[in-house]
Amino acid sequence: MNEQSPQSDARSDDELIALCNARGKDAEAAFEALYQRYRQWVANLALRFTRNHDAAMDVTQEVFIYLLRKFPGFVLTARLTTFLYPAVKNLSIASRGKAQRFAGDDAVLAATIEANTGDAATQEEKARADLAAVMEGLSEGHREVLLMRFVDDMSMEEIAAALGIPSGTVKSRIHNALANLRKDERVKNFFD
Amino acid sequence: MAQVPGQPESPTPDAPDAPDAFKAELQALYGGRAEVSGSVDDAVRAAARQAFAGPAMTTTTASPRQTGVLYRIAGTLAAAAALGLVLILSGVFSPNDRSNNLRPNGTNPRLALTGDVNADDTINIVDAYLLQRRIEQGGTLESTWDLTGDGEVDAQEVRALAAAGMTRHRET
Repeated sequence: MNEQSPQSDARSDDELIALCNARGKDAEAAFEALYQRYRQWVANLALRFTRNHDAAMDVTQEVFIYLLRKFPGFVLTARLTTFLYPAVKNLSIASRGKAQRFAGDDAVLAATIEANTGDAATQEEKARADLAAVMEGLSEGHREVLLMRFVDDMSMEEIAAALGIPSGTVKSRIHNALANLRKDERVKNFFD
Repeated sequence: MAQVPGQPESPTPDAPDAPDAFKAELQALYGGRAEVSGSVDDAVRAAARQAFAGPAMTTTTASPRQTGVLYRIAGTLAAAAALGLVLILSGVFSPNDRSNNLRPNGTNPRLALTGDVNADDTINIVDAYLLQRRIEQGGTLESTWDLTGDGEVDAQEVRALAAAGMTRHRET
């Protein structure tokens, strides 16, 4: 499809998007470079939202076809991740709503937590299971900003743009979420 | 998740921070890596190929208009050939079949476009994509989508539709 390795493609997202918008002979290769650059990020995020590998693959495919439909005329106002994030999230939510098949994976997750809190579990495994349980107990808004900040390594501005909320709200949510975690006996050792 | 290539670091000096141990545990819990399947790559690339197919806007030996005409002619011929192959394989067009019976719902089976999953009178990559999703989700599969004529609607039909990459409006 393209002769230049997308992984080593030094062109910026803006340059690649401009090529896609131009729909010239390099458009397909430019899109491939964008796909290679973000496919893993999108797939990982989709997996986190759906908790199901097959559904994550569906969402990954849909997200890039959605992006494809934006050309020509796509204007990137922030980073591409801030455009992709809500697409992944919304398509994942729709996917979860459509199918009951995720129940199985949630059960697996619960069983994993159960297994990690059993007698045979190491201290480290128990600590991780406790953290998982506490995170699941957080509000959706608090959990989401924590993951975007500390797992996805997104900046305040990126999170704000992706969620469509003021950056001050993002900062406040992260602050409050961390405060809640610090108060919880099960995980406060992470903050000692 | 690591910094995405193509994006510069942006410092956020006033951002609330958390201990490294906590961040490491979050990464371990939620930073799962999904193995992207080849079928996803194929579907996205096929969609990109179709989306960007058409007259090139950069320098060519022919003028843009000439190139566009050539692309249209080549595309039409390729689509017609591919569609013919699919219809023959599916048995929709049989030389000896002169029947014109209507279905109970009033539609004419001879006018049904084989492989038109979303019933938009067009066969293209979208149908391949939708058929793949329907198969994966265990949805209802129409017998008219059996392009290979093997009595089953499965990945072979998805591949046939994707490979055809064609657009053909139903004759009315």
